[in-house]
Amino acid sequence: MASKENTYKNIYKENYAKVMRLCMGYTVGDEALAKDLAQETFIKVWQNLDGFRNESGIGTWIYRICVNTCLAEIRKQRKKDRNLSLDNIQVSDSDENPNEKEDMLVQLYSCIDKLSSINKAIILLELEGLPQLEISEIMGIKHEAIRTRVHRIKQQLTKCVNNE
Amino acid sequence: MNNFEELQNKWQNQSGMSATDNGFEALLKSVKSIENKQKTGNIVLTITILILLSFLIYVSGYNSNTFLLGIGLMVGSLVVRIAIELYSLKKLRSINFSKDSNTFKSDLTNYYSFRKYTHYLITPLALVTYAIGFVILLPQFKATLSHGFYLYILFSAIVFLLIFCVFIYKQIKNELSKLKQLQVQD
Repeated sequence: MASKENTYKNIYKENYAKVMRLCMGYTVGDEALAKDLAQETFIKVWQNLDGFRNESGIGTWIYRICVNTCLAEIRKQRKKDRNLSLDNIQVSDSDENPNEKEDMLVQLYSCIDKLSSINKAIILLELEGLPQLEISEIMGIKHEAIRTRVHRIKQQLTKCVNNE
Repeated sequence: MNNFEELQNKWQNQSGMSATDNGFEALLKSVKSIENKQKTGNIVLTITILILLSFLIYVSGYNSNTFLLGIGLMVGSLVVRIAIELYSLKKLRSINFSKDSNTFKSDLTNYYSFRKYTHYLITPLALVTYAIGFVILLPQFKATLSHGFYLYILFSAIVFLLIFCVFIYKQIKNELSKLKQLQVQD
């Protein structure tokens, strides 16, 4: 058990920041909610650790658990206008928390929030700098389709952040 | 003007995201607490089943068919509902969060579709059966209990049923909304 705890602690330390960033992307920068989701992710990591067979890297495995936890838990937070086209959206950060977040980051959160849940996961993984092949493995979507989607979402996101 | 690389750079350099020892200790505490709760839950369930079985053995000695029918319908509907709830829980826990998101989403959609069947068919049927069992027992309660206690049982049952219905309605609404959102095309 002690050995499992040590492994778990290392996994936690090495992956917490990226899990937290991904959760922050899902919660539109709501830190408390993101911490809950990150905790939920690591609880599932513990529960599934014995079954981890190293078929994919530990990082890919954790990202899968994190994305799925966010997909399962965050749905009730979705807003009615989530399916609007990004091209028509003007971003306002007036109701966010300006004391702690830089404007660009706040805008980025808002723009990510306008995406569908799957596109949101794809772009969050792209923002993390993951290779598209790994994103494809995490999402279960063909590499070619991921490539096309990433290209489209990147353009939309950049436009949205720049208020174009 | 921010290009995507700038956004990516800003994203990866967000501050205040590092792991702390206190955070890990709190996490480990939650993990242990969940494991303990599961053990406690299993003990409570075993005790409940034993009590129900003892109760059924006890009432089987009664000669009144009406009483046995009423109590049988009430206990039976409860047992069926609990069994389905436990099966659902097992099914939910068996969903593998480490699968790719596409498969996971499909598994989760299947789960909530199964729950829809439970909510629209089994739950109303169990509630009606429970209520019928209770109504069958009412004349016996009236004949054997004091008027005050009879009224107490009658009204507390109605209040319990109403509270239970509200609770189930909220659960159904929440789960159906999750299913609807899962089925939204991405």
